[in-house]
Amino acid sequence: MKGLLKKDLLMIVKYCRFLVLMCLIFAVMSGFSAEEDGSGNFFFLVYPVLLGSIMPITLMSYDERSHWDLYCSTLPLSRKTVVNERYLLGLLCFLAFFAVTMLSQAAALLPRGRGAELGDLVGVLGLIGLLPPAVMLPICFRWGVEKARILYYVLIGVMVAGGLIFSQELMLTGAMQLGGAAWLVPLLALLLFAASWYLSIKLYQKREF
Amino acid sequence: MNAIEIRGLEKHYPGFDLQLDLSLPQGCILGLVGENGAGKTTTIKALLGAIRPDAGSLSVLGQPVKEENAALRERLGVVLDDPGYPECVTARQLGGIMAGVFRNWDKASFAALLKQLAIPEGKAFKDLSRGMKMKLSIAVALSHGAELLILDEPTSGLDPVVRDEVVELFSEFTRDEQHAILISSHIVSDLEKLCDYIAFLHRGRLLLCEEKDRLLEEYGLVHLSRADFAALDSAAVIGSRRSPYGVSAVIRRDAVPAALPVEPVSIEDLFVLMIKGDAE
Repeated sequence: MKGLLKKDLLMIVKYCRFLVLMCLIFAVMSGFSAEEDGSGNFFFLVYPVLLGSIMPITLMSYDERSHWDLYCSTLPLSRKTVVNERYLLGLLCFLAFFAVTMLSQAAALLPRGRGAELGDLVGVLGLIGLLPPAVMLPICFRWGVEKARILYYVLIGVMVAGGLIFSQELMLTGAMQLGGAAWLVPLLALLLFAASWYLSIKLYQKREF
Repeated sequence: MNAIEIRGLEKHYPGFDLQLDLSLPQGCILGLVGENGAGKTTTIKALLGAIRPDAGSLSVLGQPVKEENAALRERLGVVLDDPGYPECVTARQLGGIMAGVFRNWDKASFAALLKQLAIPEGKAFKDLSRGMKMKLSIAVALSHGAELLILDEPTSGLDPVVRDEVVELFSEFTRDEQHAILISSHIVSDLEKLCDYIAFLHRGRLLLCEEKDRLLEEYGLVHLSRADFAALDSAAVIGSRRSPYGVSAVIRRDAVPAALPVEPVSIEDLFVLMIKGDAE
């Protein structure tokens, strides 16, 4: 797995450095754009986490183009290891952008005495960050990125539409209405992510190149 | 022990069926010759566990081929027609990646091969010429103590000087009797230089698999008028090509009259005329 991680990190540095930089800027800006009334720029808030978590899919599309998949299947790596590495990478990218976004939000919300909203944000960002890769990665592993891309556009469309229709405020309000059960949202997202991980291993083991 | 043992392999795709029995003895080089779509790459993919056969058994270095046999893959050096490396990595970075993949990665040997083959260490893979890409792929395959090389068209697109260099590397590899090579190529002259055994694949079937020297001893090339050709025993003719000047035919030397002038046949002529004979 060490070799795969090294390869993917090199690819992120080479292909995705501007994307990573942009996400970091957006994550920091999300805190600055948090308004007094609880509203703010929803785009800045979710974009970094969303992009970070689907980073493995971006890399898989580069891999498909260079026919890495076939070559990788000849290396002394089990298919489970290949899947594990991609999920681990996705989780690490998600956590990195999640942490920056949360820090930025904490810096903006805590001085205003609105620290309680941070807990709700964990749920919203957890769901937004973990759901798309959980749905797309099994499809990528079984049928390739091209087919998963169609689903990706649909998902992004739904999320953007959701953001426009409900806004951050409404989603946060919704999360707050869950009250004590708000912690269930990230837990559910994590469970979905874990189920997707397991499914991807099974599907990738059946893949032919 | 055979380095490769393929028994009753079957793989069916729409419009293509592969059926194959083949073995490669340890310490030998087997050349897989065939036209585009003959089934060479499918055979190699099946040996590497990249596809699942519909029937048959495959074993490599005495172990059954399975998708998850990582220990077996440590002992294989693989070069694919399209090497499959990320476009952005340099040879030096690729060495670092492979050090994290192969337990027996030999950094010094890889560095020596890069130097020997004049591969630029700091150039991105996408900026290398086709020849350099293949040489890099071969350097990787030879840098982790592999016992068996499985090479899919490793010399295609290379200029004659580089091809010669690469063929020399493979010859050096098989000086160790525990080493073996399966190599597929369109460039039959390379295989003729290198291989101990030649296997002809055509439309998913094995036409023949024989020791190269025996092939050259058993078969010969004749140039005859149409009338003389018609008088030949048809069982002696393996394949033929008609031209306005007569007929060129590959024949079994022991099945034609001793007085008939027979030229040595190249593997390339043997293959081409066999295929043409089959088509006719």
